[in-house]
Amino acid sequence: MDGGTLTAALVTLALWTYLYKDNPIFRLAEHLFVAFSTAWWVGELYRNYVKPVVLEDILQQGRWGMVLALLLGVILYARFVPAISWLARYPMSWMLGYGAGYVLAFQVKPLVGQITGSFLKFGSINSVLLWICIVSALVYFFFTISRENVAVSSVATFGKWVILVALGAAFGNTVLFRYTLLMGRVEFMLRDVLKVAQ
Amino acid sequence: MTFLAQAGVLGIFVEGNFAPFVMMLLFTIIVYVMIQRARAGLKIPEIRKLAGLDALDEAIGRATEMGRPVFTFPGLAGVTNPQTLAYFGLLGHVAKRSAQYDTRLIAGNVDPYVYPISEEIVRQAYLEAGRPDAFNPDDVRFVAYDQFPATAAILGIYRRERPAATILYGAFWAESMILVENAAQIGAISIGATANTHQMPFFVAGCDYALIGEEMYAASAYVSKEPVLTGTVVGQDWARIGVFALIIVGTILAQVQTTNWLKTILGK
Repeated sequence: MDGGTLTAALVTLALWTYLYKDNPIFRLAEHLFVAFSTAWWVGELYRNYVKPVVLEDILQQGRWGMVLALLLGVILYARFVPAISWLARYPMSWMLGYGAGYVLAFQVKPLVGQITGSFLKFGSINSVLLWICIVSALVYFFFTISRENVAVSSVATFGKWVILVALGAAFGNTVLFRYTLLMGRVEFMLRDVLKVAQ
Repeated sequence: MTFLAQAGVLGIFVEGNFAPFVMMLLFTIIVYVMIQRARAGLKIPEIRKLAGLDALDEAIGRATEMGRPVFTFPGLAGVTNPQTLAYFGLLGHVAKRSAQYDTRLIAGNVDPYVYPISEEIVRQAYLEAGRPDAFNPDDVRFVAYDQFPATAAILGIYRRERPAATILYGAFWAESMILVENAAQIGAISIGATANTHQMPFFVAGCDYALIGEEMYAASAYVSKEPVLTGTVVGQDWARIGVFALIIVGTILAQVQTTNWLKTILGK
């Protein structure tokens, strides 16, 4: 058995010990997992973001506008220096503004597609049922229309059940998928580690 | 729109985006009008009860009684996800309540951009609660920049810090069930909220209180009861009712016309 397979097997077993209870072996695996992930991402982010911006964009291609972006990134660390920690609020405000703007720009168009997709021509029972489900689920999410109105309340309740049925189907689907993940790990242990299965 | 796009006005107009642009403008106007009405003290519709949000104070109160911390986590998405923005609104309220009750708050983070914003929100909330001295920056934590290492780290926090209340509020993926199940194992009251359709079932099945889809966006207004924020939610709701009306009209047209002019307009 090569070192990689052995390590994978040991870490898998260490993580499975959590099924009994929290213990030092699980903690070791947990900390290794977190540490390796963090180290990998530091390298990855440096290679994909910091290095291309500093070495290629700024120093080689002379795109000096990127200095502003770099500066905003550096200012984020000002929060570790109490005297100038207020400076870090500027890049944070920038990020929040960017986030909100991005949402405004890109979230509306898919919504329009969903609306026009709901203009169903009733040619079958399925299309009628689908349309009723869409509309009633939408009514469930009305926050300002009183539920004391029997008609609204009935449609919203039906909408709630539609949502629950959909969630139940999704739940079963995902649980099955999780079983396949578990089977993959068990297969690895039996075939690659213990060599008791083909 | 075509003219503006061809003229290259500011370089921001794109052909084929007319309907989304008009809808965005309309939604903005509706929300703006509602906020102005709320500011002026005029009557605006009330928001219906949302059990998951009513349970927030109960969860923090329980943690206070048990002398154990409250744990919050915004999921894996970054600042460009509306669910994360909704979490920021809620985090301020939870942090303020925790500061008022003198309950420890642990806020986990996965995204490096979300992390400093969370820290700033919690710091500000402690300041507003008149307890800046109680704010501990080490309790706003960057757990890991990856899905399952972060999940493992949070399980570690669950086991070692034993929070009495866990609030999972944002965009979640496969880690959702692991988190809610472990919250149940340590006896924590759990509130879960997500708009990620494929993860909602796990929150509904595993959490004490679950908020689904649009419900989570009403959080900051609902818990704070602040009129201006409530105006925003009411505006959004009216926009939703507008969408409902569009679907009704569009479907009627689909039955009587071969070419649905409403679909054609919205498709532009």
